[in-house]
Amino acid sequence: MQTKKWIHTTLVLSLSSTLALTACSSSNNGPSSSPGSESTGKEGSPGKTNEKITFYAQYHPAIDALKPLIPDFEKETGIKVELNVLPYPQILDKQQVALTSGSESIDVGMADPMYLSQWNNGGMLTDLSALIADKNATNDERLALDDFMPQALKQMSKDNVQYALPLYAETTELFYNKKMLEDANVPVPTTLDELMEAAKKLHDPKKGQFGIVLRGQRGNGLNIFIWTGIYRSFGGEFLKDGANDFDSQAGVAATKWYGDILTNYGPPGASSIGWQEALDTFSQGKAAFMIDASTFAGSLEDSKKSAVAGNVGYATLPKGPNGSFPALAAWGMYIPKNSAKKEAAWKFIQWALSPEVQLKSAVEHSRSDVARQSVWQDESYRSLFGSWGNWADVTFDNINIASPDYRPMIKNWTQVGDDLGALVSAVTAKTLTADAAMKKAQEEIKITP
Amino acid sequence: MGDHLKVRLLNPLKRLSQRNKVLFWMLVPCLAFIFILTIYPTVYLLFVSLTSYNTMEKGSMKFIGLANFGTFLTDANAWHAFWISMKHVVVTLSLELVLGTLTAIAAYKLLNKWYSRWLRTIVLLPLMVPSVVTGITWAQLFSPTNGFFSYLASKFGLYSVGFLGDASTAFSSLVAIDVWQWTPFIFLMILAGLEALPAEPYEAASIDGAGRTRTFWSITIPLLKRNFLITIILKIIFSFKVWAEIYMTTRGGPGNLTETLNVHIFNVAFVNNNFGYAGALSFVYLIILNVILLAFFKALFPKNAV
Repeated sequence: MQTKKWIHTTLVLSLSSTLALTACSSSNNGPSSSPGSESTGKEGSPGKTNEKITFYAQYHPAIDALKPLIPDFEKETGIKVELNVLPYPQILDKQQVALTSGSESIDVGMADPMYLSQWNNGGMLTDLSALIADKNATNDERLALDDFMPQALKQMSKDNVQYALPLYAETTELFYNKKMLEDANVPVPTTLDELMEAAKKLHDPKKGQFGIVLRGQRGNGLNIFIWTGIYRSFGGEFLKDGANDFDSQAGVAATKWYGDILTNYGPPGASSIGWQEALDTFSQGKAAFMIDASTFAGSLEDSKKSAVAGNVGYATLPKGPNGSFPALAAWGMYIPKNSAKKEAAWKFIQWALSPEVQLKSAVEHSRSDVARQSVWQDESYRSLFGSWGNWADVTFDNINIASPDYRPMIKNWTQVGDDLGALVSAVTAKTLTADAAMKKAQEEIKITP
Repeated sequence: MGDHLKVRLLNPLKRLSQRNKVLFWMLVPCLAFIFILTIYPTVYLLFVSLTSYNTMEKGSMKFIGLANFGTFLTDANAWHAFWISMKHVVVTLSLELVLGTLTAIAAYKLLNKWYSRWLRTIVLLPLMVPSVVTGITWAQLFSPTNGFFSYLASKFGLYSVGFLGDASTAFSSLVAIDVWQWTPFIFLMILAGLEALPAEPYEAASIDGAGRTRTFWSITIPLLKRNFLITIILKIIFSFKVWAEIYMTTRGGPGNLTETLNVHIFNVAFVNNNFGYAGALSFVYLIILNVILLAFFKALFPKNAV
């Protein structure tokens, strides 16, 4: 018996070790042998080649709008575009893995500046400034650098290096239910104090009407996306003299404001409200105010989805002691340093982001997030939003005053944002005071500049 | 691979009988799967847990010994998350055992009714719902503004129940979701046990004049002991893996009141990109799970039975 057991054990062990050997060798051979052959030696030959570039894109209306136009580019240049669309956040994971592993699998990618700046710090992106300056590679008219929304463009550069160009840009604004405000004779608030007062007046939970709805669920892209605007308008900064400053007067006041307005004049259980929940609540006519993404207007003004279509007013974010701080959330297109087809990739970016293509795609697909100034000024584009009240004016102005470093360009933003998010959600659930939460944030959160 | 090595590796095979040889080769695919999907990842996990690997930093995979495990000992957030995990396992398991056993007994008594099949299918439905769908659906049901439960609460004059978003109700709401999804599992396991029970002990008991309650506690429960143990073992394993139901509803909030250890590990790995430390936490989690299971396995397979 005993010996038989021994045989079994040795068998299993030896078997697994042979497997380990084969597994290792195959994984070493795999990537190096296959892709190299087709990607080299074809540069510089213009016109009709079989060149193919791979574009990793976010599942997003801006890409839906661009996709049907891509054959035009392929006809014009002979460059084939392989479009890979992935939803957020998988699109970021996919690119991060490809970039950190040094793979050549992406020629054009897209991401938001938080990730772009991290990747840029890691030396993984191509410096587009050099390409922009290269008159042989760049068609200035098509590129129209000055026509990009200046703040969005700035957000994608650091130390005079442009590492991406904006494809879309959105901002945050104050949405209000016109009828509720008129009925109660409440003027549109312009300061955070006025907003608190107005929310208080319009809060009537027994009628199923809440004063305000804001993102309360923890997360760097959830409560912190909105909280940041309040923090900044109270004068808060993420990096003050190289260190964080959360327990400053501004940090405590902003967090207290956020907690107070949500717990007193928001829906119950505010800490579970994500953006979808906030949008649903407002579009069902159950909240008087909402601060959220400008692009939500699309759903709110769609009478099939929304009970408040035609009844929504838009305003710039109310001012705090330090002014008004709308968010700037833009995604840009970039070229990985490891791409073997940079020239073709750059041609594609110039074409895709050109004012002409952007206008065409925006008008045909009613995009509300174009990052081109000329498009916003175009009559055919403006007429799309004829029934959206003052939305177009407010949004265009907001994007132009939004700060490019709304969220700080630090290496560990997702971590900082998520940790802050947990603490702010504890305040909106009343398990921590604003004071205690910000003290904890100051002690525990480490920002890596 | 050299011939020499081949001979050494395959030599023991020659000593096996023809039948065992066939059996051995039939096992190979299965062993290969176990190796690729279990043994290799576990070894790699242990390896990563000894490094400072951060996915955002090139060349960060440096060997740092047991430093990550040292960090865990003083990491209050991780211990808090571990406590929440344990609380979640114990509370959901106890509730589900009671409810699952009661429904199983009820279903067993109704065995010969025409609707018993229908009833069973309906009871088992929640088990078949993918956990992500469960999470999204319950988040909708618990929505404080548009949800079914807040509507219900408002009919009773309660306008301020926040369910998943209130500090006082968030954990219980998650327990409710787990009970909804997993009670059918207990039900299924216990019902199978009930149906396989031998008739003789019951006949003997009725001859001896034992009442219903006495029969239940002295015969049914002891006979079902192994079913209970297996059920508990499996449910603990499932409980340790609960992730989507929490991430889709509270994301661990409000604050960190519902942040279980695996949600915490997910954040450390995929938000903070700190794979080294996340590896160490996972490894600790794995060991804790195994220690707990060991106790149950000992009860399930007493020494003389092996």
